[in-house]
Amino acid sequence: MRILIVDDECTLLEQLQKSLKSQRYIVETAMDGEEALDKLFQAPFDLIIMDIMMPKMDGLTVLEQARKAEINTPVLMLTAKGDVKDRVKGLDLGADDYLAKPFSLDELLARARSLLRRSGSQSKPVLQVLDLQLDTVSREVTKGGKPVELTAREFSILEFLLYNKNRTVSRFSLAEHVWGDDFDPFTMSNFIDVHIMNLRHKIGDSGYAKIIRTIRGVGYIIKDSAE
Amino acid sequence: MTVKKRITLLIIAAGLVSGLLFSATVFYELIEQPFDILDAVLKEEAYRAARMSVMKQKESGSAPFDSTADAIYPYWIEIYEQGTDRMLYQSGLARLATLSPVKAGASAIASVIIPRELIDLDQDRVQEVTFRVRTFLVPLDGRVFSVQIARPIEKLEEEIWDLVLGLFAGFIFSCIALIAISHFMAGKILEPIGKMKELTRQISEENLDKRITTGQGRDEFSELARTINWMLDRLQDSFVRQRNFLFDTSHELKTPLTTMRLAIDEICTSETDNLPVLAKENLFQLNNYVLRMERLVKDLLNLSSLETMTVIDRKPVYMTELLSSLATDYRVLADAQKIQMDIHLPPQLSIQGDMEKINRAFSNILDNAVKYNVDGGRIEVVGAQSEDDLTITVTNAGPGVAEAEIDKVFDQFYRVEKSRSLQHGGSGLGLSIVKRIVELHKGKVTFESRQGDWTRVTVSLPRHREM
Repeated sequence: MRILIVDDECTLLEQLQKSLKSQRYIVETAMDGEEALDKLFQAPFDLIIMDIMMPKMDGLTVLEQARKAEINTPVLMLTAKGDVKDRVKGLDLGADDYLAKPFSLDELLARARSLLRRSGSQSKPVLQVLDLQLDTVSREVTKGGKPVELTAREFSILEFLLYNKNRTVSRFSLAEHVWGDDFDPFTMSNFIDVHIMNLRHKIGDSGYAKIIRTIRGVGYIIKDSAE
Repeated sequence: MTVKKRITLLIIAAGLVSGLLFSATVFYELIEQPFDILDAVLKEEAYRAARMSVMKQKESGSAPFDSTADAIYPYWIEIYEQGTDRMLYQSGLARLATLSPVKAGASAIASVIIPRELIDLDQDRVQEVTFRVRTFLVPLDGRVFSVQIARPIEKLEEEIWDLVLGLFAGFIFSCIALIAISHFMAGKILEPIGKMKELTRQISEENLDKRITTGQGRDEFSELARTINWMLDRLQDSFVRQRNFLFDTSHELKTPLTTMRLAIDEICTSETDNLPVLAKENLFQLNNYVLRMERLVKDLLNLSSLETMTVIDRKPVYMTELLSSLATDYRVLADAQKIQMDIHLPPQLSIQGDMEKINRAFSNILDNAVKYNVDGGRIEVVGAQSEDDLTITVTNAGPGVAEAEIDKVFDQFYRVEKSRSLQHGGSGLGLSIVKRIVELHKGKVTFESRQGDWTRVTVSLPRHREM
């Protein structure tokens, strides 16, 4: 899951980045509105956490521009305490949630999870297919009740596939959501194939009852029902 | 030869020529003048002597007039009547020395030895006395006398010699002065050029907005400076326009490409089973090409925005962590190709720089190291840092690059092997981007390779803001 944090306050930005990274999210940062828009146009994100008060271009303008360009990534706004007017305006412009500063890190993470679930049409914090479970809160994966050790990238791939259950995910969009756009697409599709192979190996996914199925030439899909 | 030397030499040459001409004129004038005066004196004396001897002859018959008494009389005179051999007069000097006859009207310089004991004429040791000899035809009482008259010019010669020496010394002196002055003048003349050169040298791609300071004057140098500035204006203009064009084009291309990709993605991820096989194949191929295009456009945008940049935001970048994290990603790929990856990074490597860009640079380098490798090959990443510099070398086994091609690897769109690269999907801009990023950090990147064996990319970066 790729998250973009936009804030002009350097220390807060770094703190958030560290915390979110420790939760195995892929995090990108922007220091102002223009940079944020630039990044949004470059590659898709799954969540935007954005301060409203910013130099150059404020958060509301970024939001407005992004929605106009049909970027429907969920947006979590960070506002000053009691700034009701801005909150209302933000929500009207298409923000999905807000959080008043100062906030606790746990609350931010919880809201982030909730927004990510909603966008993936999942409502429960635990994503499940067959006997494979991925807990988005504790960031743990179990297969048949036994814990599975995954690397950060493997976790992100599995998480993204589970969020998009029953939908084919192309290699490229998987790569974009897990790595961002800094890599060569061909390198990335190789990355994906190798990671999927390792992932399958770790969750004991082989033989006929494949959890992660390959759609030849396109990408991968996780389906609810075993066929 | 430098212009300064040339100007110096030209000034010296001009000075010398005019000095020489001047000296020659002065010399000639000074040489001729005393002789003219002397000749006038000689003529007067000749007439006087002729008159005197005619007078004396009338008084004392036909015997030649003798004047041994006036031994100090400094003239050598012999007077003959024209057409006869009869000598009318012979001065004391004429008896001591014999001078060869000179034609009437002509003049000559003759030297004879007259011992000092006989007469003191300021002879030097050689006792040779130089005479100015002239012969005049003097008409007197209806007769014509041929008067050969001479006068020692020992002193005159000495003076002339002094004059020559003086002129020569003056000439040498003025030469030295000329060299000094012309050197100084050349420097003075070229001073604006030197300033212009210094300023022009400072102007590069990075600060094309810099201009040469032009004086208020309307002289040639100010004109030149203005012309250069004008040229720079146009250069900057076209440079900026070209850069903007590249940036704008890439940007314009991006939106339709993204739309295309999304459309293809949508078809691909929906049910493709009922599509005809050919359509499916074409769709996948289309997808591949759109991805490649998108990558190319992204790299172009990256490169052009890097080109526009002149300074970067420097923050601490923890290189050990950054490289380890990148290596973790690429190790997965390397493992799949059975490529052994060795990472030797001391802890706490760090620089001041732009993390995102540094990450992109090393991602490109590692990408190449995996792509242009062989199955069962090797990649070695070694890092080291000193007080001022950080050096990272990435060495990989692989086909390498021919020596003649090495200079071209940083060129845009250079590919070692077209077919191989296309299969790998590189944009051909990877190393150009690396180079630009390293340059922005004021670092250096070098590429070494032995064909068929290995390739090594070395990046060294200054660790602190400005060196």
